[in-house]
Amino acid sequence: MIFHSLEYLVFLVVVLLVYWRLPTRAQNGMLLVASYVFYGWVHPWYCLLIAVTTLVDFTAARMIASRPRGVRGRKRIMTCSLLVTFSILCWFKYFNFFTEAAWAAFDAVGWHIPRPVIDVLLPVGISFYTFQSASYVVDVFRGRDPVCKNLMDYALFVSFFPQLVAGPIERASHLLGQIQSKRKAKFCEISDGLTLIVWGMFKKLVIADGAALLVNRVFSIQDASFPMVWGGVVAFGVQILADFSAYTDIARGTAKLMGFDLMENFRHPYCARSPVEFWRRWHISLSTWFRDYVYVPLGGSRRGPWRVALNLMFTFAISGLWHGSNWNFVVWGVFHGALVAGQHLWKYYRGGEESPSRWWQSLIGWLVTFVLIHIGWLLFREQNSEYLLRYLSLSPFGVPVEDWEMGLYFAVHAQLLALPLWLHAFLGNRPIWGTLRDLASKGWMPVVVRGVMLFILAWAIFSLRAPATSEFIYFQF
Amino acid sequence: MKFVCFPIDIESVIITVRRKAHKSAEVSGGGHWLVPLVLILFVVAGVTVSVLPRMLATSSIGSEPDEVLQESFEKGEEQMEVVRKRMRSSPGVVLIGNSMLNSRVDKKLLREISGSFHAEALTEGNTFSPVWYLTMKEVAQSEEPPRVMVIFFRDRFLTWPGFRFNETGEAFARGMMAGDEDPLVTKLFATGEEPGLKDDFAELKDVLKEADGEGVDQIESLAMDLTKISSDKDERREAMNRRFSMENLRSDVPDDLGDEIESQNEVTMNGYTNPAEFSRALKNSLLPDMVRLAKENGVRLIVYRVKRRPDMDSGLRASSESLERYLRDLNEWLGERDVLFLDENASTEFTVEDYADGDHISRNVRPAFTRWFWSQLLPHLEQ
Repeated sequence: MIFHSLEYLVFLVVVLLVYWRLPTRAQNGMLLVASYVFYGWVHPWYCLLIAVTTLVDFTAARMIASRPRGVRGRKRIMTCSLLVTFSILCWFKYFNFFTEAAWAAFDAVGWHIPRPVIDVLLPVGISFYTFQSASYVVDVFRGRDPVCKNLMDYALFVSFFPQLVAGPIERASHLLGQIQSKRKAKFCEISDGLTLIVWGMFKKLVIADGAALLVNRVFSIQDASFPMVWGGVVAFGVQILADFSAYTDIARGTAKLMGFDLMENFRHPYCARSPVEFWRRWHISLSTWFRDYVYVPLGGSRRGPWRVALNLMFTFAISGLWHGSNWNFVVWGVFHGALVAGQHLWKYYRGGEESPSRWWQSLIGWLVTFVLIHIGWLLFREQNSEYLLRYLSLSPFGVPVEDWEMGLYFAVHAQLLALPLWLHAFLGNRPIWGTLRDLASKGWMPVVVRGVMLFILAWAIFSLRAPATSEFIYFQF
Repeated sequence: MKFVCFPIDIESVIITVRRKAHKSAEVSGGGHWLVPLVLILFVVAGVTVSVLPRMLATSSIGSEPDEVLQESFEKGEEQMEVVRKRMRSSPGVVLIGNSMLNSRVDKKLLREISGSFHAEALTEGNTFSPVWYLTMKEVAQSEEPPRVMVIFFRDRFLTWPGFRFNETGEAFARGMMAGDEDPLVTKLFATGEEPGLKDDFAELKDVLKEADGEGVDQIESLAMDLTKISSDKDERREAMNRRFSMENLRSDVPDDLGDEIESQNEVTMNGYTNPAEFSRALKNSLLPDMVRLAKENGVRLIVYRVKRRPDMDSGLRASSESLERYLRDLNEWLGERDVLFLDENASTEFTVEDYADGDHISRNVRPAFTRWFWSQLLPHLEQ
């Protein structure tokens, strides 16, 4: 079931109407059923996979918790649980990718063996819920999280439908606690939830889908020139931010309607003034997951500068692979790893503040970061290596004016669509916005202001939406 | 001040409501219970302001202009003329379909390689099963009917007369029937009856799906103005159309289904959905009549399911359990009636690189496909 469908609207209304009439325990049971219906709507067998992951990790965590720290076997149980959980992910997501690479190597040395290929679809959301469930086992092992003794609560933690398909990847310490405690209908939360949902829908249907039309055109022709490709990349930057953050907003908004608070996943990432800052603002739930479960166990920043740089590169390469079973994602991860590692080494050897302090430094930092991130987006968007190399080798010289006009058009059109995002980022960071908010917080004024904003967004969704809509980009991961 | 003109004490009612609202807000832990309701009303108002004028405009316009429908009608007449002309050469094998067939088979090459079998392809883009039925009827009832007829289709479209059903499609089919109305197709198009099952939310979805276009055009126009270097808008639009034409497309481009909408790995259109179960879909379709026509005229019928565009990464085509079940039932039903069901999806001969846009095969692969297809069909012809 997809968020921007009438079916989902009906589903959500029914769920909410029933949900708020039930006591907490029954609410959890009902949400669990709803989550499995949501997930298995098209392919019911997906539910089997998520159930297996849930059962394995729930049992493993309980077995770990039943053994005091220092007793043998705890680590083995955790390893087995992670092996099973990640094997399921690898089987569906990476089997064909790895066999292709291995068989290419076999071919190169003259072994011509028929390659095994798995003929199944990648279950949507598998990368997200696998990471969420695995982090719980590790946290129980580390003693950071208490063990969950109720299977229903844990199953709901893994399958909670608003964030099941594309995150945010929640931690047990944050979401499981909320599942186990009583929720109250806070009307301010419900209002916030509604606002987030409408804002998310606007970002998806107007901005992301509008930009997608431009991007798909550029990347569909054989002879795109330098300005066209980079105009398309700028448009893709708009599309991917609007698309993914829209999903998060709708997920967070839906959760708020049920009294849950999901973590923030985006903080105006294109305002970042350095690659490190970008990763503190982009897909925060995944960045922090990799930080806590890959980078820190590798030694984190406790080692020497070059070892830290290596750890960063490795972590980002794995993060790239998480996105998709294709080499371009690995290259994209390594590219960002190199940027972050480079910044780390620069800071280590040259010293200085992590964030620029003067306005012109901020401006240069922002501009350089914006350009670098968009170079990364080209690596992310173009999955055909032949075309990727061709695009990277394009020259800006000797290109007809007509092509410059087209390239500029794609970039400017996308940025016009993205104006509400820039405005949101600008106002969100300004003291003036806080003052206005304070002024508007008296009586019914904030409700009227918010209402007018929702009115405009709702009008815009159905008046300015793109003629064609597509699935959320992160569904494929 | 007391309101005394009413038999009830309004002031006390207001105070009670206020107290209750206040209490409810306190109990709930924050916010007033009216706030979400007011916000929902604002959202509904926004949607209404956007959608209502369009709904009213649509209902006042009602239909396509007469000249468009007339053009479609004439195209239908011309198509029937083409069918009759081709049948004068007494082909032994006739292929029928829409752009799926047209993009796959090179008609001239097919004639050459089919030799004594003399195969002809009768295609018309954007057509749907009632048009295939009318073509088939003309072919089967010709003076010298072919030995074999092959109908090309995608997934469920063989039993889905509602797919692409609209005023122009209907006008085209009526043009094909000009002077010789087919009772089945006429009944299908009769006022108030829909060819196929209409989605319960179809009309609402249609209205919500389409923006009025004016705002979108204005943004596009502003972007054009802001990026003008030398050429004017019309010249630039023309240059873009040339640059992004079909001939210039990459062979590995993602799906571009035009008006079609991909939903849950299946194509939907016009707000019509096909019943998921084969038995229900069959009742609304012309498939039993196609089979009957072939039988009555001694023509062997073969149905050929084309392979939808495979996924770029996996090389596979996403399917659904419902579709798989439907295809199993279709195969069984056809088998019981001696109709051969060939499925291109089982082959790995052509990959995503061989596709043009959407589910169409690219022009340069067409000759290879024609030869391959003929080699697949030939054993069944020789039986």
